[in-house]
Amino acid sequence: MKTETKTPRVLVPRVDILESTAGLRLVADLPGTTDNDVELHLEKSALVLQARAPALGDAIWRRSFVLPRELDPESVKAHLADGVLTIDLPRKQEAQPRRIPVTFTG
Amino acid sequence: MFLAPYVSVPRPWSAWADLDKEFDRVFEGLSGTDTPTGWEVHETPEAWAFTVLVPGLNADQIRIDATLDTLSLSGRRAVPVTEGYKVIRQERGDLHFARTFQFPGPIDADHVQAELKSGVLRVTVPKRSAPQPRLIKVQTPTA
Repeated sequence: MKTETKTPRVLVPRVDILESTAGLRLVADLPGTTDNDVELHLEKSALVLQARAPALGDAIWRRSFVLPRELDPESVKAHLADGVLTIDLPRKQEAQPRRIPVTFTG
Repeated sequence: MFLAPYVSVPRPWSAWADLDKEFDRVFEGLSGTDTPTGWEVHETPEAWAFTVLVPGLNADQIRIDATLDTLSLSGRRAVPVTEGYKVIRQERGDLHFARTFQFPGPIDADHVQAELKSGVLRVTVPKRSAPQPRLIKVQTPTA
């Protein structure tokens, strides 16, 4: 009997990218995944999003993003609801726009 | 009665295979991805089984209607505008689908089951067995 090694199908999720003064927000459609299926990795300057989808014949959603330097990878927050993942990537403190108090002299 | 073959099987998963090529795309140079709504239909001797990808939709945003031999599925998702955010890239957008399936035989519309979980909708449509032809015995009244 022939044995087959089954490689999981890789699907590319659709993603919206939003920006605010606080940082970037990525919103990805990941139907078929739950919290335990989602992994976020940092590889050099890239954020790799990977999620198993047991509900879709064990397909894998996967996509990577090059992160701008001013983002703080240590404080990434993610939230998954109804198969939609929201990732918040805050800017580093020093990169956030600030109001500089100006003192005039003379 | 002539039964039309079941021709309305929609976009199969295989259409997604092309997406594999885009495996390692990064921020720059992204092109638009394929349809946000994947469909799959399976037939068993007892039922038709539909799988539809509907990320971001809740049960109230999906409508399913069944008749003697059709099933209609429709839904709508509006991506909300997030206050204080500027859109850099938009691939998801609003999602709207509406499709009617014509089955080659009668279905059991009273026992259609639908389940929504993590953005995946599964609908099971039991078939109704056609009445079997019966042999009618001819009576010869004796009187």
